[in-house]
Amino acid sequence: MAASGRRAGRGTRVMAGAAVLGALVAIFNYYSPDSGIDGTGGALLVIVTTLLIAALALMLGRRGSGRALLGGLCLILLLGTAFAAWLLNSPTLVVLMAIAVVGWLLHVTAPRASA
Amino acid sequence: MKTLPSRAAALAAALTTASLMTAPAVAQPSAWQTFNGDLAARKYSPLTQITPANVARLRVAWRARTGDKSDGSGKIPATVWSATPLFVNDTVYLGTPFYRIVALEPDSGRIKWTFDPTARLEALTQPALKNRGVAYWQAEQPVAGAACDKRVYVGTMDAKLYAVDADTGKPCPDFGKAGEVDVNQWNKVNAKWPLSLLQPPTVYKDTLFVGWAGKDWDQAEAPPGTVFALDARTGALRWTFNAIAPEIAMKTGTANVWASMAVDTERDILYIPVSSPSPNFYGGNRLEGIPLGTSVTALDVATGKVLWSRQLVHHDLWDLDTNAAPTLVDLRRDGRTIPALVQTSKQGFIYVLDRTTGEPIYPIEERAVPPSTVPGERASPTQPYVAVPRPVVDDQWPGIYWLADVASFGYCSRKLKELEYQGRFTPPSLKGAGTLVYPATIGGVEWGGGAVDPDKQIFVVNSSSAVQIYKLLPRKEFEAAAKAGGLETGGFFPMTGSPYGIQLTTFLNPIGMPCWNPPYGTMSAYDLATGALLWRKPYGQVQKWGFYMPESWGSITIGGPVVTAGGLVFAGASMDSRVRALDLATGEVLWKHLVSAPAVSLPAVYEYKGKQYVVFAAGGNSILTPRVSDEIVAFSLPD
Repeated sequence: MAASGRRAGRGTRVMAGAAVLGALVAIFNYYSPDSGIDGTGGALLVIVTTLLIAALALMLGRRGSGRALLGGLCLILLLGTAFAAWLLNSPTLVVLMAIAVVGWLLHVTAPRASA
Repeated sequence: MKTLPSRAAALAAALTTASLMTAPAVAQPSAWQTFNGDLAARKYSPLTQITPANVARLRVAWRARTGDKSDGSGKIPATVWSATPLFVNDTVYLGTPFYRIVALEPDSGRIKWTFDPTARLEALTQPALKNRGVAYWQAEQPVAGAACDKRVYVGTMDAKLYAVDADTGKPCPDFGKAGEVDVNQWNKVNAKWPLSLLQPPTVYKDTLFVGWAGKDWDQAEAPPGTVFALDARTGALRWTFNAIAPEIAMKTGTANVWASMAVDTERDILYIPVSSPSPNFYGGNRLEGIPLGTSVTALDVATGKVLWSRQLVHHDLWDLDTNAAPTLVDLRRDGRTIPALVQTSKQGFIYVLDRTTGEPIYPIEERAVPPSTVPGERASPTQPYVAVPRPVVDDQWPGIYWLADVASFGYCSRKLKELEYQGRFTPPSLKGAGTLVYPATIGGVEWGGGAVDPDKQIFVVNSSSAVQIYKLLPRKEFEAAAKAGGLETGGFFPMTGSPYGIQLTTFLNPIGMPCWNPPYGTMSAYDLATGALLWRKPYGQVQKWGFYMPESWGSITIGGPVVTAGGLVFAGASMDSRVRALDLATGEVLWKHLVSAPAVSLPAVYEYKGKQYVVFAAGGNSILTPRVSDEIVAFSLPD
């Protein structure tokens, strides 16, 4: 029970950590003239989505109801952000979202603690 | 016996006389002396240091910023910077969209001097402040230290032409009034706006050939097209070429030369690309015909007399300006050497002509085209068609793009049903939602023209594939629609003085996707000896809200390519703010680099102290994206 809890917790921490790093990368891209996407709506969009992912990951880390919905929403945001990052030519952000997906997988595949 | 002072005086006088003899800038293979590289408009560099084998190692050698940029959010209009850098006199020279001249060290980009004419920064004829660079002249034997034996010229939006000393940037006092000639003094017919000097003059021997740009689509009666030949030293007018016969000039206008020109220096022939007459989309006021409108025309350099002219669009109703200098090349074909020219066009045809006679080397066929249904209009029953070399755009429009249609819930398909379309040269219409026009006013090929490798006889050109909609509106209906939709921002252009205004839009769906199939921009290479297409590849990338679309889409391109003897094609021109090097043999992109805005210009290629440089002005153009910049960036191989 404790092991599954740790694994699930690790998963959400990986997700949140990758998402926060992703947000930092996205902010850098938004403001850096050398990024090729500075000041664009797309760069702004992924700042928002990565921050959302981080927030959702932290919420998922707290056991409670609605985890399936939150988990599903997380996955959609993760995949969508990864796709957007690919279209924005931001490979670092794509990699971070891939790491976040690993975190999501760790979370969802962790055995549930029994009542 | 003459005394030494007298002998010295005589020598000084002789040298002064020699310096008064004028000449073109001495041709140097390592230099880039004109807008198109050379007077033949070849856009070709004989340098071979950078090759397909090593171009991937190209890196930024230096960057410079001019400070002259505007996104239009303040008092200064937006800037469109399309300047070709010049390398001559051991200096890189550029004009800026604020009409200043900057002179830079060629190996560091350090600013040597600047000249600021304090020009009016207002959108007098164009929607943005535009500049395509500067021109250079030097005396046949310039005397060291003699002021203004070497000169740089820049024009302004309000028709002023300035000449400054190429070493110091100080105005040349013998040119016009204290270094300034007001070209507008010769704007005497329908002078409704100034003759904007956005394209640098073409300089040959002791003459400047000066065209101008006007306010498109605004007036039916506009200044008639002229080219002025000015003395390079004094600015005095030597001759004027008129594109429109004086007896009809009052009721029409333009057919001007707003793009660059070419010169055959062996035969003293000036080649001018003549634009379309006004009003651009209705010809009921000019039914008499304007034979020199929308043409490529050859003039005698000394007199301006027309030697020959070939009209490329009869009674132009589509604004298909001839918009680039023809490229001059000696064509080796069937055992003969033919002095030829290659003329690109908005309509996407590539005309290969004998440049001494204007006769086609590859056939030009007059084909029947649809009539106009507009009252008062009489469209030409035929138009010239070129099948070889293969046009850069097809005769039929590319068709609906399923993705754009699905994304807009069928908007594209529904809109298509409301449009008139009967192939190329379908005239603008009053019916329905207007006429689908392809290719349209954005081309095809734009003012960058094409480049040639004269030894391999390979011609390279970038082009766009864009579908636009032309809708004529009777005057009262136009005024109501323009008031509701917004003049220009809504695509409404008045053509004041004609019975109709026009709404001109691009065929996009409501979320801004092109309704037509990609690719939207390509780079093509042709074997001029046979007319065969060697390769054609999508070029550039569409970028919207930062998102890059697939490379297979290409992008609309503005600017042009340069070819090197090293076997490379260099170009910016695309929407995605990248400059690229392509393999001349295959069209494969071998190198690309991000710059700060679309490099909507021609690069220059030069050699300095044994190192080859490729330099771009990255300034942006609001037709592509809102991004603007003031960056000059030079690339070279690492030491």
